[in-house]
This record gives sequence, C-alpha cells and structure tokens, in this order.
Amino acid sequence: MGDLAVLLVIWTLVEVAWGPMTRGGVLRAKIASLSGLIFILASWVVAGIYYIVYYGPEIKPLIKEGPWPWAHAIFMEAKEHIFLFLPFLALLFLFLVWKYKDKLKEERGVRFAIYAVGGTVIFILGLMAICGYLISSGYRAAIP
Amino acid sequence: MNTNSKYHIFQFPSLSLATIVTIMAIVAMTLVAELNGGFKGFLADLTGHHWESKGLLALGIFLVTWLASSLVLKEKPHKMRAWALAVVGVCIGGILVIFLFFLGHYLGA
Repeated sequence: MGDLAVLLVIWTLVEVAWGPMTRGGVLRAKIASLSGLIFILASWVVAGIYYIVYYGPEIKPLIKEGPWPWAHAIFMEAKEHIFLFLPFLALLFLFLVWKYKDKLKEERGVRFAIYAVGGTVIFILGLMAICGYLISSGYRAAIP
Repeated sequence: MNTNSKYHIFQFPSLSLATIVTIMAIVAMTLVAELNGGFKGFLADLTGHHWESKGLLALGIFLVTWLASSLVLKEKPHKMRAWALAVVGVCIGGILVIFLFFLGHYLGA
C-alpha cells in the first residue's frame, strides 16, 4: 500500500509539473492525491494491526535475540514513529491540490508548496521501504 | 464592523501550522515515552498500545491546532513558500531527531 501511495503522489506531481491543466488534468491530479491519502490511511490501519497483533509478540523477540538486534532497536522504532507524520502530510498535500486546482500552473508559490510537501511524502515513504527491508532482513537473519 | 472576518478553516497557513505542531508533538511523545516508563504506561492504558495512543493523540492535536489557528491565521499568497519550507524543515528535523535518539539509545544500552 505504501508503494502504491508513492506512485500516486508521483503521478500527482507529474500532472502538476507537466500535465495539461485542462479539466481532465486537474481531475487526474485530484484523484491521484486523494487515492494517495486513502492508501496511506489504509496502511496506517493494516500496518497497525500487523504491528500490534503479529510483529510485537512473534517477530520482535526473534529479531532482538538474533544477530541484528539493531534492526528493531533503531529501524523499527524509528519507522513506527516517523510513519505517523505521513497521514498529516498527505492531508496537507491533498488540500493543496484540491483547493488551488485553478492555480496549479500560474501560481509559483502553490507549485512550490505542492512539490515541497509531495517530495517530503515521497521521501518518507521511501524511508519506510528501506527501514522495512532492514527489519525483514533482521528477521531472516534471526530465523534458523 | 468588519464584515469580511469569515472563519476559513480550509487555508494553507492553519493546516501547515497544525502539521508542524503535530509532528513536533509526535517527536516529543516518542522521546518522553522512551525516557519515562510512566508516560509510556499511560499511553498504553489509554488504548491498549502506546503506538495507537500516540496516533490518536496526534490526530487530536492536529484537529485542535487546525481549528484554533484558523481563527487567527489568514491566507497570504506570498507566504506559501515560507509555510511549505517550515513544514519540510520540521519534518526533516523530526526524522533526524528520532533516528539519532534511537541510535544513541541502542549504542548506550
């Protein structure tokens, strides 16, 4: 879901940067930004359930006892808290695209804000993927 | 009497400020919970898990800050870049603080 959210945010930025700001282009940007927010909110729920129900009792102890305890101590701890930034940033991104839909091409301040906030969302989602890879690697290293 | 003082909640400054305050609150709650077992226990007692409580508290802080700041802040087109940079700056700062904290916590343990 996080990977899909990245694609949707990138799609939105591409529409703003290079797309023709016709009614169709604006609609695509709005749909992509809304879908990105929905996927981030869905991953908050799904990942939260997985984290509390499965990761905590079953995966975490194995990683902490294994050869890569830092995979949980540093990367999982950081990931679970930095993730909480995303829903609010994604909401801000959505707001920028929806409210300023008529000014996406002309207003430089609007475009800058969309690129800055969207770029930050993409950066954090990428960070989540990297942390996830390291945490999974820590689990694989711990199991016989 | 000023007839133009309408209450606008859908404006970039108040949403940006709410995002900034929420991120700072998440970072603060994260650090305090790790350094103070009592606070972590309080968070766990709220909803059953400290992470879930942090998320819900963050949502509450966001909503309150957004609605309250909408009373005071007004949309100014020439300030959009500054607000966007503030959001990004606090975000990057928050990421660094959290990573460095847990790195230091692990190395010092």
